[in-house]
Amino acid sequence: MSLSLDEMLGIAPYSLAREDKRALQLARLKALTAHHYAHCADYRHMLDAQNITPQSIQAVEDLPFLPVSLFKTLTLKSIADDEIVKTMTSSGTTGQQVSRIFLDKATAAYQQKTLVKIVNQFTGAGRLPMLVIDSPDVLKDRQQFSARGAGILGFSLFGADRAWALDEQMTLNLPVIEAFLEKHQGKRILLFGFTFMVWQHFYKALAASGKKLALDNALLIHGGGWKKLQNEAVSPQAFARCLHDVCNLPAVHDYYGMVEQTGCISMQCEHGHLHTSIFSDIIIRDPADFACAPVGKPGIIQVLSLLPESYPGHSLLTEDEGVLLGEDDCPCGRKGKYFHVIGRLKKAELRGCSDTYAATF
Amino acid sequence: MQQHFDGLTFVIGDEAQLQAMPDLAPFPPFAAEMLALLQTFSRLTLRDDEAKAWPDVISLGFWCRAASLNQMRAAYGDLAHRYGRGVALHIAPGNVAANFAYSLFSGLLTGNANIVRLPGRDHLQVPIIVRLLCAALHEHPALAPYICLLRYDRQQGINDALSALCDTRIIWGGDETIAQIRRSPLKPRALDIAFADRYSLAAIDADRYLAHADKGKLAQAFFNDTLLNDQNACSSPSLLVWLGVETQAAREQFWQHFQAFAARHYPLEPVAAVNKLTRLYQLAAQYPGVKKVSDDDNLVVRVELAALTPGVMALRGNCGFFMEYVADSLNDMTPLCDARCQTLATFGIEKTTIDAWLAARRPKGIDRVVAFGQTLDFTLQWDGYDLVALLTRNVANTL
Repeated sequence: MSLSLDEMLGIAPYSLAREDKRALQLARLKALTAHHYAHCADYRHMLDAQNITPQSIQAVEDLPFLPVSLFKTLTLKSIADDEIVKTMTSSGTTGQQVSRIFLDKATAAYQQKTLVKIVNQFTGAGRLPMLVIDSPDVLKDRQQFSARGAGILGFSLFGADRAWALDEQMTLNLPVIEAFLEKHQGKRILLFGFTFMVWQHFYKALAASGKKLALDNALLIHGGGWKKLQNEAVSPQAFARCLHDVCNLPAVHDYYGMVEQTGCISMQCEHGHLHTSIFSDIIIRDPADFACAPVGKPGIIQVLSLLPESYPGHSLLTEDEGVLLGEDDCPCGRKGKYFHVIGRLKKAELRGCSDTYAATF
Repeated sequence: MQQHFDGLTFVIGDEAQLQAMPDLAPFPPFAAEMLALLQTFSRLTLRDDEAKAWPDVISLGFWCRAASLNQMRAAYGDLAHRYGRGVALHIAPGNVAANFAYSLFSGLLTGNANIVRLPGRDHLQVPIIVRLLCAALHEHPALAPYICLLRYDRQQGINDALSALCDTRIIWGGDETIAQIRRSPLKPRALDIAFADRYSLAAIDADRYLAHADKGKLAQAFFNDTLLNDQNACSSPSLLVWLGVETQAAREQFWQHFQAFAARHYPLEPVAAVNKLTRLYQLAAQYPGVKKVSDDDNLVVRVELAALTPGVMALRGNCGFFMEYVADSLNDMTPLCDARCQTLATFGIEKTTIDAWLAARRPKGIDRVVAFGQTLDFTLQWDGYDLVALLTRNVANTL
């Protein structure tokens, strides 16, 4: 069974059962591997170093996976420079190296279409009035798309009318929010933001103000890492409950995604499970030997995406720990693997003569 | 000059003692008083119940035994007209728990008063060493003015003030730290001893190895050289050069023994598995022709290089990542032995062979040649520096 990506975009994203999905994905992922092997010298050398040829891949599990951090140190692309239409960068604090992802027209378009297919399963087909829980400042530099900016632009596809809940100083802009809610009274509303921003600058500010917003007809989609919230000991359950307390928000959907595989996000269902769609897959790897871990056994998350044609990012090893919860049998009814992200892998302790006096600053 | 010490936390000593340090009379190297202090420290350490749990603290105790100190003394000739340079300021590395003590003891053995900036991180060994040192000082109160241990966060002002006090400044911990500390001026006659980022190699004769009786013990020795500190020390080999005829058989056996020992003693962190794969790919991208030669076990990841290119060492790994090369002779190694190269650990290679190679090729690097198992052993000859010579001054009395 072999379908083009355009044909796949006609299939409902959570409709394929295991064997059909595997066959479809293997054909496309093998083709992507051969494509990048032919067009990205660095990628070819990496596979050569392990005596892997694209032809030797028999199963999705055989695909070589690149650690995501390679996109920080190497310029990995399978297109000529004049085909680049957009360079995406990961969010990183000042001084840190950021990932650089090079997109051509086709890959950028696939990312957008795929995102729409996936998210519409949760928002419905029409566009909704959208309240972004961030500051308009985040979009100022349009030459370089940060993960936050890219996420907001990506999700703006679902907004019929867009308002910013925070001002330039990241403080809650109540007049704007209230005017927006007034304008769209009675309609379903989409809230979108990065997990920590939602918590820090929206929930906390609302709780402190004592103000109750009426968002009982809204849904929140948020993503972008739980690390900072784990430091504050906020669980996903507490996150949803607290938001419900200040604005009656009935639906909160986390998502798991990364700038290296934009478009292929895993959305959280009503049962709190992250779901892969037909456009992506996930494999949990045992750190001891990178063997595939069974359901229930935590390990390192490998992510697969059918989209990347302009850069060799179709099979990546993340630095996140996760656990597979099941496949095709989530009570929400969606097909595909579903999983839980435990968090970032613990950084190895620095020991020895590396530069730690400077590093402690 | 107005000096400010706001933000200093004293672990041993106080500000008055710190200010008075430049007025102390230095001792000659290996002075009886200093030897007595260190021997007391050794005695207290080797019988301390808490210290027993820490091999690095016990090693430190052994380093200070009378026999060991006498051996160090004997390695030097006439030191009769030498005296400590005065005040030594030690910027200890944040990541090797016992290193601050070796640096301090080098300063004491050479007759100096010592200010030590302790590691910011809380190693459990540090308070043990500090407690034992306090107990030793209690038995030798006359030497208390010669030791100040302190902590402070990054503050140029304190670096300035301490640098202005000292006659020798010893900076451990790499290039960035050195650059930062050097923003603080020294007195006109003061010296810097800077321990920069280095890397280390190993060379092994395959045929001698195959003939070696105790391969398990050698594996343990190499484990101590490398994985005992996550292969992070500058002196931990990150590349092995194989010499001789039966290199294939020797490699198989060597890594089998090493793997078996490591499997019992080294817990692999998941992030280390990811980092080692990253290293493999970075090397492959930059140096086409490298081959992964280890199997799927992530504990030890081995990469065979197609050539010994100088830049390859910038991509050395840690936590059990080894580069390998099968060489015709030591000469193949020369391109890697630039100024960044610190230690060469060897097995089965004659001292005379090494000396002849070094004399013929005169590489800018390789400051130590040691047997397997000894790469981490601290000595007063370190990183190409003779610490006794650098921490003392010589009175040229020609009468």
